[in-house]
Parts: sequence; structure tokens; C-alpha cells
Amino acid sequence: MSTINEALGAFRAIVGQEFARADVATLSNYCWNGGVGAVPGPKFKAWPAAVVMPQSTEEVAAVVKACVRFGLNYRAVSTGNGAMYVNQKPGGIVIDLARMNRIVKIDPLNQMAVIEPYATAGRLQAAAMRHGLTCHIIGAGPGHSPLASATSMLGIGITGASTGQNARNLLALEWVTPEGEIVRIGSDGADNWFSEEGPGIGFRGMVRGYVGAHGALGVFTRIGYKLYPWTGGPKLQKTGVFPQTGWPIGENFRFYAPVWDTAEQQAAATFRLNQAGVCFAMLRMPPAHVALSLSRDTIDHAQAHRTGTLPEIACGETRFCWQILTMGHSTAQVAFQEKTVRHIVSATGGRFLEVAPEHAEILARGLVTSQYVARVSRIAVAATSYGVAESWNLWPEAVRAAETLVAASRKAGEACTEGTEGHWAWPTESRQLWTESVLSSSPDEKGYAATLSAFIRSIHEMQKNKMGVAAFIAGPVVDLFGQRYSRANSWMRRIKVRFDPGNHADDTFYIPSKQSIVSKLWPVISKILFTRFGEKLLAGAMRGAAKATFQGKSARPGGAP
Amino acid sequence: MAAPIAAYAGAHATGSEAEPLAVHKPQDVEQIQALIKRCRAAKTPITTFSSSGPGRRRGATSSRKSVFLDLSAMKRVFHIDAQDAVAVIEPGVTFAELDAALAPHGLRTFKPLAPRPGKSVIASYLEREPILNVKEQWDVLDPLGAAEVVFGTGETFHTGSAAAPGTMDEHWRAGMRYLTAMGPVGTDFMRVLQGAQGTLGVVTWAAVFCERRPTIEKSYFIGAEEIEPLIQICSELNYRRLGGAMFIMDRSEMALLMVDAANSYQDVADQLPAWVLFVSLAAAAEFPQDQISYEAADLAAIAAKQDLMPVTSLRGVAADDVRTRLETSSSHDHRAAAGRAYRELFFLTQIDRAPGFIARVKARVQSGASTPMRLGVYLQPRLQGRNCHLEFTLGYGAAAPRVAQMAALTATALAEECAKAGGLFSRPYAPWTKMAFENHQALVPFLRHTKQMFDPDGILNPGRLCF
Repeated sequence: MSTINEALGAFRAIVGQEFARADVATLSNYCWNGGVGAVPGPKFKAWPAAVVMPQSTEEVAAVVKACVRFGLNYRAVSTGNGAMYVNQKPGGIVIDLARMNRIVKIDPLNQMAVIEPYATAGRLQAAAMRHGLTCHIIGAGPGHSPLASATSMLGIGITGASTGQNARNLLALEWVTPEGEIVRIGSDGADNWFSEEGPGIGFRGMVRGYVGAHGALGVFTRIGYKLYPWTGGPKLQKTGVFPQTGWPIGENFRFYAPVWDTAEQQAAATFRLNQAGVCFAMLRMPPAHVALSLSRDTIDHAQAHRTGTLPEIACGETRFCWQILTMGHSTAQVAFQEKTVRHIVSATGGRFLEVAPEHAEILARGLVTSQYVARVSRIAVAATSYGVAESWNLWPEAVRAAETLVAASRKAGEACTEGTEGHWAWPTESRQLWTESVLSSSPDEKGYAATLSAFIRSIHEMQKNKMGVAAFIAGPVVDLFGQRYSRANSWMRRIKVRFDPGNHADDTFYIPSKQSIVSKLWPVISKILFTRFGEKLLAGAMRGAAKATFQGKSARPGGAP
Repeated sequence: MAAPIAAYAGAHATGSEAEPLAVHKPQDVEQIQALIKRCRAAKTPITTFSSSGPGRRRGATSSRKSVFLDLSAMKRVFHIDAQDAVAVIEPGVTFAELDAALAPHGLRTFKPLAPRPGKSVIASYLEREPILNVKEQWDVLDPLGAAEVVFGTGETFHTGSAAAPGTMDEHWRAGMRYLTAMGPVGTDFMRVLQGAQGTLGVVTWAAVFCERRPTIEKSYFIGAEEIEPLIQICSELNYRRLGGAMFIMDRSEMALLMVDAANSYQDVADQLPAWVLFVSLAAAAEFPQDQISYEAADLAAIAAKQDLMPVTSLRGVAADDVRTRLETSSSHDHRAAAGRAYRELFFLTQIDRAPGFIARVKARVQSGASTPMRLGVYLQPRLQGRNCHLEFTLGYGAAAPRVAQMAALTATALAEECAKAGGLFSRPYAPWTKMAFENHQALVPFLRHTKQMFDPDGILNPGRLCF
């Protein structure tokens, strides 16, 4: 305890008395394991020893050095969307970056911004729109941190057709290494945030891959970040009444809801739409989630189901549907886009759904702001699977695989995913398939066990059926499945050991410092686990994890002032 | 097998390059893996080459004796897919060879400016040579997809989506197209390899994104006496994602691109505006005439805001002809026209900062009036307009060694000056290497860690970068 007290004193000397705290009320905010991203473990999973709130990069570096000096584990958090981003190791130090919230600069001519960790996507978007620009917003919604997403997470979002993905939206970055050195990656100099490359080696690739290191390789404190064109005016206007808020679709924009009979037809159309490059946003979500997005609340949603008054776009028959938003810069371009979309839909056997204007406005607003999680996650526990980033050739197979998974869970009385599968999909950079299947289950032990089990099975299916490389693997799961990805897990461990020899930066969602027995035996275990007999073993193991989540307790390390 | 060094010498050899201990021309990954393992055991350095023919850029060899690993005979094109516009190729495949293979599929390569005939497509992309098509470059990695690499440890590794279990053929049959370059998982191996100048591993094949051959393509020049209005136009074109190939050149550089047997460099240069923006509009398969019409109208409207006008020819040279030339690899180095030699200097900056660098370089070149040099400027927007490659060439009479020496000294001095002013030497070839890393001192220890992880014995391309 004296170590903690001493450390707390050191932290207070760096950031001030007020911004280094160890009281229960403060600490409890950083260990609540619930909602989106909840991981197996008790509700108050891991009590930190202290929370430190630095205001500058230099303070972050000093705090990290203090953690290293006192032998403490630390974890940085910015906006913290969900439970997996809070403290994970009992007695660790949380470095809360909330005071580093500046949009340092918007550079309209070069379509970029310079931002700090707690500048949210919503704020950035509002600021960018005043300059005729917008930003990529990931599925988590406008409350997320683009810096955290771009440097440390997966970073993929709805408007990917025109705004890419955050892993590729990163320009220069400022990195506080696991041992507290301040290092600039890419272009150097106070006002030079325009490039993430060089000199020489693309070092950024060591600290941020297809997914980020989730805080295990230090702290990122400032980045250059790409912005994208926006012709919808300096302020996003509103229609409707909260929560059914819409956006009056601007004159340079068009909203369409084309539908096809099969996934193959939809994929064929998508190839052509991508090639034409006419879409600002394209989103496929399961009809059930369209229904949730359009309904005022859960009662409204249930009533629409009961009375059969769901709009056509929210019905299962129209599941191979795109919500398309086009954006033009001139009247002639808008006309070209309209002609092209209509032609491609017709030529590929599709038709356009009639969407009530107030519904189109709500859905279009969602496409611009990515305000979905609160709507579609409100009635059940949700997890996700089949994070597939590859060719649109794989779309039909991804749908079929998720259907099989959901059907199996439903047969076992576990899943409550409405409809046959839960795929959200869009084309990243108007080129590449992105899809993930949202699995819903009842908010209890049984349901949670089912989603965990389905998640593991989905990665196995991806590997077996050659559906690219799984996106949603982190922590111990990397050791299980990363072995078959050219042994990527062993390289991650080498990097972690090299850059953080004392293992001070929390590795929970990166790679365990030592490979577990289970992962060493995984090549054998997996041969058993994904058989009919093994299914029961897997389900049993996941029930154990779920039980820990719902019944487990975690004592707060006491004593710190 | 001993071999002479001549075939591997760069344009600006220092004279201290060592003869090869042997030259290996492997046919497949197994041979590369075996060679690396042997060289690791013997602590013998390896110098790698993918392109063939005389290099126009760096002095390509080490001052230490090394085994030359020449990949130029690895010329297989494994797959081409028109729907996803991607090909999987070996490192010896050149732009001309790949274009020939792509043509029946309605595709062509994304090209840098005037690649030499022996230029390896993979090497060009790994070296981050800027491509002409700004709109399609979303990220620095583009146009690279997934790849196979043999690290300096001797381990073979598959990057991006190629890391999925199974063989390339199995992946292809399942519908994968290696479109994901990043990863797998928490490390972006391809990004680490890019710009590494072969110091970490040997890429043995890679997926490369290809450009769809336009149904209609129309090219334009916009001339101006100052560069600033062209920068405004260029920025707006990038903002609107209008235009395929696009760049700005001064009259001297543009004349070199336009000149052919029918006219002389000086005649063309004298008649051009001081600055020229070149832009091609490319229409895809759906309603191409509609697309070209609106894009041409929008281009004219954007130019009109600067009181300028796009034209389809300048001084008798058609913009479409220049576009055609840009699609052709030529054994003739256009910058060496009229028997002139040159030194070059390039770095990254932002387009609105370019005039400041240009003024700085012009002042320095003009102040050295006793050694007359032709200054050329090439500005290539990148990453949909987020930054740009700014390149200067200092041309001089090929037969004047004293001037050549002065040009080299001037180029080096200018590089130092531009680096201090914020230019990013992302591709720090000799003689800029030391200077480039001096500006990134905090990063250097981490780069050395990286080198030690991927090439623990330091056998790959010793002496390059900060290793």
C-alpha cells in the first residue's frame, strides 16, 4: 500500500491534487463491466488503485514513467465506449485522457484535422462540417474518440464507402512509449501532422495493425487525421422529435432503399456501385435493426410487430437491402449519380422500396452520424462475429454462415437474434466488403454464454471456410486463432516484450505475456472442440465464463487515500 | 557465381560499392528462404534487387561485400481479377509486363511518373513512389494488398488477408482477393516493410490493386504564370474527387514530358506557361459520356474561379498524347533529354506549403549562377490531396564533371534546408539518410529494435536507412 501512496503522491505532483484520485466513487467509474463490450468477469471487474488525469503529452509521459518506476500496471482510456476499455487489472492505474480534448486544428485545404484523445467524433464532425468536411464515425457512434479508434482499436464505420476506415485515416501520430518516452511517428514538427509514413520503415505498423494494441503498447496523445468532403451545409439540421430525429436530406443528396431477392444479386450490384463510385454511404443492416432504428421506444417497436405495421424496409423479406445515400458537388453530378444508381439496381434485378419521408430522414441521419448503438442494442445483450474484410465475393457465404450459427443457437434455446442472421455490411473505400453479424441474446447467463460460444465458433468457421482474417480477436483469443495466421501471435509477443519489457502497459486485449497451456494445445483442442461432441464442451466452458460474469465478485483493493 | 557489379550500379554511384560475392536469381520462395538461412549462418550480407537495368535513383549496393539477390527473374502473374481490380504478382514483374497481362481484363497498373522499363511494380509500391492517380490512393499502402515475405529471420510470413489458413489457390477459389493489406491482427507487417528498402525482409509476391481502364478518358492542361492558382484548382479537384492522373509541373519539367523527336525541348519549354497542371478525367463503365460531360463542365467551372481555362493541347502537344505517354514505360529517361544529366531532390509536404519550398530552392539555385543548372519542379498530390510529393531536378550538361559535382553538393545542401523547413524525407536514400534520421532521433532506437526483430543478424541490405 505504501507503494500506491507514494505513487499517488508522484502522480499528484505531476497533474495536481485534484486530478489524481483514489476514492471509491471515482474508481468505481473505471471498473464497471457492463453494457457494450462487457467481458467475462464480475460487474465490478477490476478495481484500479488510482485514476490520473493528465492534461498534456508531457504529463502523460511523466505519469507513465512514474508507473514504470513504481512497478505499476497502467491503462489509458479516452472516451471509453464500453466495458472492455476500462480498467482490467486489479490495482492498475487508469490514465484518463478526458482533459486532452482539443480539436487542435482543422485544415480544410488539406482535408485533415489534428486532434487529441478526448475529441469525440460528434464534436469533430460538427467542427468539420463548418468547413465543408466530415469525418469517419465508427459503429460505436459519435461519442467515440477518433484518436482511440484510429490508433488502438478496429476503427470501422458506416460511411466507409466515402470515408474509409480509421486504421487508414491516421496521419502523423504522437506516441508515449510503454516506458514513457515521447516519440513522433511520421512527419515531425509542431505543425507537421500530414503523414504517418517514414522516414524509411513504416513504423506505425509496429504499434497498430489490422486492429490496434488496445493500450498495450503505450499511449497515443495526438494525431493527424483525415477528413472527407461534405456538401450538406455547415450544420446538420434536424427533423422530427427525439429520439426519432431525422435529417432533412439536402438537395445534393439522394436516399434510396433498393432491395434484391438474393445475397448474390446484392453482391453483383455492389460491385457495380463500387466501381461507379457514386455512393457516399451504403449500409445493410438486418431488418430487425431497421425496425429498432425507426421505432420511438421498445413499446412502440413491440406494438408495430404485434399490429403488423412495420414498414417494408424493416421486414425480413427485404433483408438484401441497401440504404444508400449519394452526395454530389454539382447538379449535374447529382443527376449522374441518380441515373447510375437506378440503372444498376434495375440491371441487377433489384427494385426500390417505398420509404416514408420521415423514415428516410431518420435513416439518412443515421448514415451521417452513425447513431445506432443506443437504438439497436436496447432490448438484448449484443455481441458481434464474422468481422469479414475482403472481396464482396464472400458476402453470400458470410450470410449463410451466420444463418447456420443463429439457427443452431436458436435450436438450443439460446439466441434471441431476430431474423435469420444479424449482418451489418458496407463497402469500405467503395472497394471492399466489411461485414459483421450482430448476435443478440437474452441478458442472462444462458444468453451471454450463447453469444460467447457463437463468437468462438464464428472465428473457427471463418478460418475453415477461408473468409479472410478475423477482425474481432484480442487478448487470449489471439493466441488461439493467431497461430493459424502465419503465427502473428508470436510476432505480437516479440513486439510487446521488446517495447515494454516490464509489461507495464495493460496487455489484456493485446497478447498475454506468456502463452497459456490451452493455446499451446489449441491445435489439438480445436480439432475436438468444433465437432458435435466438442460443441457441448465449448458451451460448458462458455457457461462457466458467463457464470463468472453474472455471479462473480471482485474486491476493491482498499487502503489508498 | 561471381558477377560484375555494372548491371546493378545506380545512377549516382559513389565508387565505394563492393563487387558481389555471388549473384543469385531465385525462382521461388523456397530458394530465397534457403539463401537467407545460409547467409544467416555465415553472417553474409545480402543486397536485394527487384528491378532490372540501370537504376535512376539510389546507389543500390553496399560498401561491404555481399551476395546479390536478384528477384528480376521472378515474373509470374498468379492471378488477375477484373471484378475486384486486383492482381497477384512476383517482384520481377515490370509495369509494362503487368499492363500487357491486365489489358484483356480491362485493367492497367497504377503508375508512378515515367517508370523505367525494368522497374518492378512491387518495388515501386514498396518504395512509396507516388502514383499519378490521386483519387484512388486512400492510404500510403495503396496500391498494395496482401503479400508473402521472407523475413531476415528466414521465416516465411503472409500479410493481411493472405494470412488466412490455406493456400493461395484455395483462397482464390473461396472468393478471397487479398484486398486487406493490414495485419493480420495487431501488427501491420506490410506497412512496416514499406519504405524499409529491403532491410527487413524479401517480398516474394504481392497483391496489387489495379486501375480500371476508363471507357472514356480526356486529358487537359491548365497553364498559369504563378503556381498558386493551380494549387487552388488542384485542391478543389481533390476535394471533389475529380480527375484521375493529376500533377503540376513547371515549364521545364513539363517540356521534358512533352518533347519527342518532332520538336526540341527548348522550343517547347520556351513556349509553355510558367506552370502547368495536367489532369485526366476518366469515366467508368456506367454512362461514361454523362460522366465525362459533367466532370469536364465542373473542371471548367473550378478553373474559371481562378480565371483560367482547361485546354486539350498546349503548343501543339495534345494532353491525350501526354496521357498515352504516361502509360508507356520508356527506356529513354525523359529527364535526360537533350543529353543532360541531373540530380534530384524530393520529399513530402502539403500542397499549400509547396510555394515556400519552391521559392527557397529557386533562390539557392539562382544564387549559384556560376554553375548554370536547369531547375525542374514536379508536384504530385497524394492521398486524395492530404499531402504531396515535391520533387526538384537540377539538370546540367552531362559532360561537365565539375558541374555534376556542384549539382550534387547543391542538391544535398537543399535537402538539408528543406528538411529543416519541414519537408519529410520519407524515402531517405543516400545522401539524405543521415539528415533524415537526425530529425527523428527519438524514433531511431525503435527502428533499430524493429530491425533486430525481423533481421537479427543484420544481413539484409546493410548500410541502408539508420542500420
